[in-house]
Amino acid sequence: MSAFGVFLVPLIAAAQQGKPTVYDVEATYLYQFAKFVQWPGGNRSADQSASFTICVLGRDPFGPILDSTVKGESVGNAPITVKRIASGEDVGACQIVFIAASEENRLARTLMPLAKLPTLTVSDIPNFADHGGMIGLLLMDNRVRFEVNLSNAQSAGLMLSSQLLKVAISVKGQPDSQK
Amino acid sequence: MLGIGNSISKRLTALNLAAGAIALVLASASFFAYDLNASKQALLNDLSIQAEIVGLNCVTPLIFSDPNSAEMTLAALRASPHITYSAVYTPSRQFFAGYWREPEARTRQLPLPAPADLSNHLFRDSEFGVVQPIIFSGRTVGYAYVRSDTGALAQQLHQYLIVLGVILLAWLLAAIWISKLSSRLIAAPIANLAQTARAVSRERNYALRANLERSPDEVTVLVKAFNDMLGEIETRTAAIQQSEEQFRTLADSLPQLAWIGDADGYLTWYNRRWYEYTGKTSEEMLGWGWQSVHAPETLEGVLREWRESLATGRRFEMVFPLRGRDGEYREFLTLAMPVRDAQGHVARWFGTNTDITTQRRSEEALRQSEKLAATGRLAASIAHEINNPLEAVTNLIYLAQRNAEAAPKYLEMADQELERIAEITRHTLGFFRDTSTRVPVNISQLIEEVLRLYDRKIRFKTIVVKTRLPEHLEVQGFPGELRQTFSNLVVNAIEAMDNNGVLSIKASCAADWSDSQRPGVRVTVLDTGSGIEQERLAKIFEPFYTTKKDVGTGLGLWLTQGLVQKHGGSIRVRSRTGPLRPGTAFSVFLPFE
Repeated sequence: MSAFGVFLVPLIAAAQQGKPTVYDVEATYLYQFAKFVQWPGGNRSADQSASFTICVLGRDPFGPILDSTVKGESVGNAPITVKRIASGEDVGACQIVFIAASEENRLARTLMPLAKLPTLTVSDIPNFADHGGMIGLLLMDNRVRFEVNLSNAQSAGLMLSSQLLKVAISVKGQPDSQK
Repeated sequence: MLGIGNSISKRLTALNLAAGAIALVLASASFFAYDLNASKQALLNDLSIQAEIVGLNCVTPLIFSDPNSAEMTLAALRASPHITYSAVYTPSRQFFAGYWREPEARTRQLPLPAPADLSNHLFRDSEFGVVQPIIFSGRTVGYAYVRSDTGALAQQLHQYLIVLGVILLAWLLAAIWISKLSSRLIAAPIANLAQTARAVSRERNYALRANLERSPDEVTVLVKAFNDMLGEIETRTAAIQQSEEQFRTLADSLPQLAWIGDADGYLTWYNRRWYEYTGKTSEEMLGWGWQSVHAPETLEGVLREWRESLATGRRFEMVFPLRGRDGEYREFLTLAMPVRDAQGHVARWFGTNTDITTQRRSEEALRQSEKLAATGRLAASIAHEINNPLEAVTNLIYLAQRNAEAAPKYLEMADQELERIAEITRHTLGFFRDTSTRVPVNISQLIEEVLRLYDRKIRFKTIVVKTRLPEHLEVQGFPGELRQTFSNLVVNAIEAMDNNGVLSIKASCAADWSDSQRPGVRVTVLDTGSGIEQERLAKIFEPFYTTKKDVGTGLGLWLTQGLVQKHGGSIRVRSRTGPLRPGTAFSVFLPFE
């Protein structure tokens, strides 16, 4: 029971005790997703730069957490860098983009320029997966879980690992090509 | 088959069985141990693969903390019935998700074992366990833990035991068959040998032989050796019996009494003559029973000497009387010799008793006859001695009758001659009238009297007599016997010499040759005759030995020695032959007492 308890303790309360907060977990998930996603032409930036870039679009909820979480981490051989961008126009160099809650009201517009780009979109905006996003984070039983919209990912040319799909709460837009 | 054959074949069977069973069990055990180990390795390998699969399938549940998904993955282990428990743990070794074969054990979250507890992957509850780290992108994202019961191994062990049992049963049957065969081939000849050996020792029949098998194996060699040994024993027994027989026959045919005793003096056997003489039975004589035929006055000395011989192992020699069946005692010279074994210890005693009564009596008779002979010779000598003065007296009386004037002078001369005759007579009587007890005898005086007796003979041969006879040399003795002793020596010396010889007689105080503590008188009679050869010298004291073939009896010196020994003395002789100063010297030692 005690082992389960670690995950059942409210994450807010846990933060006060030095335990991972929701943002700690989300920051970790962000770069872990990279390991289960295949980008067209490899997991490299479009500009062929040697780094793997995670972008935060909108008002950054992580503060320094994301930077410290990915520090020293890499995807393949590429070190991870964090970039903060203001609009979807700037997303070209990002493999993963986290869309902050501040974009909720203009989500459709924000996602528009990303639609055909091979960029994995992640957000904790409710029902993100139903509104054109690929992975929507949500809190369930005090745990950070996620939904996946497979068709959104595939139309962007991204392949999501079945392993990843296995732990998703739900997988939406099941395409016929899904293996 | 007999008891020995059975026991040997039983032992052979037991040995065969034991050896085979041990070999089989050892072989099976080592195969089993090897196989069990291999099976265990295979099982652990299998578990490792299972853990690997579990780990691979739980990477995302761990990363994205989804225990439910992990549990679903683990549930697939139901397909492996031996897996009792499997669980996934976080990198900090916290329980994450689990699977239990028994649903009622669901709440039993086992702690992740430390690597040290997994050294042989076998736990105290006889379950195997494997822990695999779950590595994703070069990072440990958790641990997979799989446990299995030993059911598979137990099943294998069971099968092995069944196979081992079947093999052992087959071996048992084979061994019984082999032992039956071996008892016929090996045990039967040995049993035959043992039977023969028992028969031989029971019946003492060394003519028996064990049956010989035709096959040239060790047992046949043994049987052959045994038969050869029996043959040897048979031959030797016969030889010993014959030898024994010969000895008994010899001992029984002896005129002497003979007997055999043990080393401690216990007499075990007497010859026939013994029983004939004593009239006793063997039961009465056995051991120390011989004392009953001894004279009471000599028995103590005999026992003392016999015990002395038994203690020292020296030969026993003694003369003592034994009582015959008629109650008469006879003198026996008894000799007993120790027979020694290979180590030199006395094993037994052989003894003989020789009846010397007759011999003693013969010797006594001889002495008497020699005395008579000596008397005869003496009488002749006296006749000679007396004849001269008698002739002179006859002549003087004749002259006195014719010539009255000179008659007193002739008669006086005749009186002197008669005086001489009287003196000769007196001396002569001394030879025969001997004292019954010892009296002091003056040796010098006695020798001068002897010389005077043979004065005529001495002068006839113109022999020079040299004497050195100190006065007052006295010994205790019988004068007549001593006179005869020296008379014999003087006569021998005179007869040994031709004319003009020298007779030397000297007497002196001296000690015994063999015992310097015994003082006495030594008289040496030396002649200048031709001497006696050395080989004859040793025999001259034996009776009937003589060099004077026609005149002597050969008893003179034998008698002389007897007389000297009667006085406790001894006599010796030295002689030289050849051209250079030949001669013979007799020395007589006589103790004072």
